[in-house]
Amino acid sequence: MPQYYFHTRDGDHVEVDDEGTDLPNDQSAKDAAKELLSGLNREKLPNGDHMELAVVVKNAAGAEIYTATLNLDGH
Amino acid sequence: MDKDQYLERLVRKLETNSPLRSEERDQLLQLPLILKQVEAGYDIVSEGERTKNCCLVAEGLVCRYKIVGDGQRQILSLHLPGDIPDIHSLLIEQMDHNLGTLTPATVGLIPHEAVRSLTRSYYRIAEAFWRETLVEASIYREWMVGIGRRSAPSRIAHLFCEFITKMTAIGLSDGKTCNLPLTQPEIADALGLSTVHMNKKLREIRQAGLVRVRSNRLTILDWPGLCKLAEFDPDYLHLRENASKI
Repeated sequence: MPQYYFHTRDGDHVEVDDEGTDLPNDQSAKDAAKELLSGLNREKLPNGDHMELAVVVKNAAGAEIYTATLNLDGH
Repeated sequence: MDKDQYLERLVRKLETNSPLRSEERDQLLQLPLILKQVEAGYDIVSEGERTKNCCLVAEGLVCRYKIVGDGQRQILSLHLPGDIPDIHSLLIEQMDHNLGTLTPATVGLIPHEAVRSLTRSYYRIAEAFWRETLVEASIYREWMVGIGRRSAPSRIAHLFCEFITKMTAIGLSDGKTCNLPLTQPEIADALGLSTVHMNKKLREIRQAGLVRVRSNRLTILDWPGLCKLAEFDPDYLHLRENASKI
């Protein structure tokens, strides 16, 4: 199975995924990115009224195949 | 290993929660056992089925699980050698979940009739089985709190704390390291997390120097730190004073 890397960004804080996860194809990696965002969102409350969580998915060749961003904008 | 040694595992497991007299121990060791070797991913009993046997986990790792509408699996509990995860089938005829192996396993089928006649003659053995199901209910409560309220890193840490504590109690770990034959998707299915989320948080726990997880082996590097992250207090396992503890 191909390997995918899920790098995340929370505001200015970036976390690099250097281990990767084996998944059947690009589509399942995209689904996994959305699932990851909703999971991360569940365990984080924004400090203020704004939050931006992002996941960038790269394949084993280092090419970006998908980016998903979740925004909270309270006012 | 032979039949007697597997039944000794049952006795050892029961004794982690219940005191047994030597006569009761001897009676348990005489239970009939039909041994069966099965592969990983094998369903020992399926939802909806009715059985005439209980199943002793002799070797390997077994889980209770359910599949939800979209095909996702929720692992409900993990069972180690010495457990009889379907003991309730004595009294509840129809299985309301699946019981399957996570690793190649040896299971021992014990006819319901044999367990029934033993528990009728020895009320303390009946109490030991009853207590076992009560402790399991306590473990379910703990898992429910975890899935409902704990953060992903705390859930993962809790699973590690519970697993090694149970392995130590039955004599399969020294409290510092143990086999953990679970894949990351399986851990994710037990904790209600996606695999990628689980991988990411497990990496954080490892990088914090709390555990090492490599080739199916869990090694505890910082027990107080892991317990703190997990909010782990082993009281809910109701281990007796003389059970091996960490």
